[in-house]
Amino acid sequence: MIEANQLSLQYKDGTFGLKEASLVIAGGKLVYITGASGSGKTSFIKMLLGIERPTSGDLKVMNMDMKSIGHGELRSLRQKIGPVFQDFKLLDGRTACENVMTGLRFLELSKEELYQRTLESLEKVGLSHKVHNIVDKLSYGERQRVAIARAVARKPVLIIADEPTGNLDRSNSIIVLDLLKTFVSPETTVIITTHATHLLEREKDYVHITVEDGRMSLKEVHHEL
Amino acid sequence: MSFKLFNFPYFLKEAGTLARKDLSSYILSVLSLSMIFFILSMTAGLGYSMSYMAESLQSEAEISVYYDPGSDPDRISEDLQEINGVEEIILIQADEAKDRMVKLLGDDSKILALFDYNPFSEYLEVHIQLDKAEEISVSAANVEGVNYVRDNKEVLTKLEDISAVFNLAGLLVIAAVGAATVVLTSHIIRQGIYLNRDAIGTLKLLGAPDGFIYLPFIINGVFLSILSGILSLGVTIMSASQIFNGLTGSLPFLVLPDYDLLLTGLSIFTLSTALLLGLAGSLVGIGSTKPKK
Repeated sequence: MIEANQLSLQYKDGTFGLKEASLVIAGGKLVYITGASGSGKTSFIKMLLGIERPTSGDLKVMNMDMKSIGHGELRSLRQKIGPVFQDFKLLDGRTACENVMTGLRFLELSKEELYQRTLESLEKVGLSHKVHNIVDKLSYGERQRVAIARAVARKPVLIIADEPTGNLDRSNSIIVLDLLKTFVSPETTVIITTHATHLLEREKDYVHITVEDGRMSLKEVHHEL
Repeated sequence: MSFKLFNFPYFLKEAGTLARKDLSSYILSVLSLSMIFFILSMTAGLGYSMSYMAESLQSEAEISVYYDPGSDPDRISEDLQEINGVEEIILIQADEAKDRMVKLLGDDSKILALFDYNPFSEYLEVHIQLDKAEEISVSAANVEGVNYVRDNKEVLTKLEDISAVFNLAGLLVIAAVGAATVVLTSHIIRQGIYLNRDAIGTLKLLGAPDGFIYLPFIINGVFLSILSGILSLGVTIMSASQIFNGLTGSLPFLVLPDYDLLLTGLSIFTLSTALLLGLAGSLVGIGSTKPKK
């Protein structure tokens, strides 16, 4: 799914976002990336989404070389990814339903599939009763669930959630993380970045990537709870 | 991206949302563009009317040949017929000459009642080929018994000159209107893109194609321009009606184009120009926000 080899990202001011990271993430896994603020988590996510290009080393996402990926290929790749952000990145003034649909409208779906997937995904995140609510009026927790619904409605191969609990209280954080975990399947990998390591204590099987000063290390965790 | 028809209401709704997001700028732009389109349609209307008048007069090219009392009009007609470029000769009696003037002057023809006698004399109306008007006038004046030849070549030349000036002015106005519309529309589109940069960024991260992202902005720009075109047409129709009534009342001899036909033509011209310029402005606005490679 994801292969990084001596991957580095150096910004124009000379600072490193990531230094010589090498790792392989297989498909169908739940992956947590943890580290302090500014450690390099978001730099890695930005490269996975093609927002930043590696300055040295290699990064392959779904066999696409992120160093040389073209505009059209990047667009196709992004269509297979379900992104979830700390600040939700929802479209203001639109309903939950409209937000989810907007992420689907340009995919090869029929009108019936569009409606069906939208309603199903909102139901999965427990918001079937707020389909027509304007997202600005929802609580932070509910907004993040709309963002998750938008991501999963696309039936993505990879869900990337960058600090999805960053704006949420503990109970909502747990709801959101539990929700994201339910989408892990042999076809879908879920990557979650967080600096709230205490939330991982509840997890049993996951891949844990720690980032410190731009350096990454990976280990598989199997806990008996 | 294959275009899906069921997405069209979404694009329209998004275009409406964009307009509402910066409504005051939108309204001001509509008003500014309306004034610009009003100037365009008035210039186009005036230019067309001038061309129509010149062409109408040209198609009725004729000279009037007055002869000495006692001369034989049949013999003069025969001599005139020999001149190259003469097509038809009609003898106009003094009474008919007066009737024609009464018709031409309309309400002002009352002045003719002041005469105790018919002040008009009989003459020969000679229909000619316009390009030979000058030679025909000289030759006709040399025919024995001919007293005076009156042609309207000078009037025609002046009318053609004025028409050419109006056409040139029209082209300049169209160029100026084009530039102003493109600048205004592209500015409001650029502003819309700036105000919606976060939403655009999100759509890009979701893998939305540029066509999907920017179509609402294009619809918005085209709608802005067409709305302005419609408003300007309303003002043009009101103004044209006043001008037409004024001209036909005070200058009844003017050969003006059919009013309904003129308005239909102006409507098609203004709205299609608005559509094209709105489209061009939107594309320029979108193009100017894209990062240089």
